[in-house]
Amino acid sequence: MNTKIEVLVIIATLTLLGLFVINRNKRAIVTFFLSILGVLLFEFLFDPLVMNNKFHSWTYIFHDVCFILTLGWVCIITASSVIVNFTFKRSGELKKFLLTLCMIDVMALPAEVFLVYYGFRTYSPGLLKAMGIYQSFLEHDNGLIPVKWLIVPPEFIVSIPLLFGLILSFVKYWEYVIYEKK
Amino acid sequence: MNLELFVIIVSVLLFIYLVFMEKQKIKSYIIVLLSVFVFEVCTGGLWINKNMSNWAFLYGDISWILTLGWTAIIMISTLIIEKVIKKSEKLRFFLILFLSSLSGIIGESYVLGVKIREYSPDVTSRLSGINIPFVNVPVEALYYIPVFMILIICTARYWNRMELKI
Repeated sequence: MNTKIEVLVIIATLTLLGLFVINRNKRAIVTFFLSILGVLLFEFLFDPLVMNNKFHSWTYIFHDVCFILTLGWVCIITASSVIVNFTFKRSGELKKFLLTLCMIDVMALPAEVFLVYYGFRTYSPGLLKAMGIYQSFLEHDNGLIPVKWLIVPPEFIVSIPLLFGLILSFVKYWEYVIYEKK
Repeated sequence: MNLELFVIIVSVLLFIYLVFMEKQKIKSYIIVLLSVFVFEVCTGGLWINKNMSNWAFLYGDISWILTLGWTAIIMISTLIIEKVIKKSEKLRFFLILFLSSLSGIIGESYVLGVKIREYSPDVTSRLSGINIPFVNVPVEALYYIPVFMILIICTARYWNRMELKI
């Protein structure tokens, strides 16, 4: 399974980059590399809280920061940004930002659940302890909502969009700085 | 209690200054405040805040006093640099980052020193044990604090420019 994920992500990344090069979409290539920077900044920051497992050793770049997962998130962010910018060319910046964020979350949340379910990602005890709602589900498990359904803490439904919002803001800000009219 | 009072006084004075002298920066202040709060919620597992009055905590061990404190550091750095550097956005960004990171390291040193903050076991197990001289802050803070500042400053400066119309 890990080999399949690694191959899939690499193919997706190369396909995406190839499409940008063929279409001479310099802005999309810039978005891609800015996304790599934004995601890596976050991944190094969250390194103590999140463990990435079961990938081949050559995919790890620092502790358990796995560049395959980094590329996966980057593809999601870049593809969403490019699609929304292309489809909603005349829309305002806020609308484009929110649509991009929605598109990212539609892909990122299931991806996170998938990774946790198959053991590719685990969370540190400290992170789980900080999740108050998740802890109360565990403590008050009365069979109403089977706790085993909680593959990721319910707080992640909110925190994952918020985190991607910060990464997207980072990317959009630097796009503005790079393309700022002088 | 001293820290809580100090942060509240500084924040109130800062807000009054913004209201009377830099009205256009109030939006920026609110964006920074919200961004810092979001960040603190999402990174709650990295550190433990304690030894403050009960009313200083908002959710779990997330303290709105520390949120106000970080916001004040970033806003004051921004106001100073924007007064001095008028033209280049890139230069302004990096100077704001430098000034707020430096102030952040000093602030972190204080909260660690008075035991308002300690790092979670997940973090301490990854630390090298080497501290920055004179401030008694782990050398890894030279990465964590600037990264925190980069993400907040970028978010604030992006949203400040954006017209909030759909």
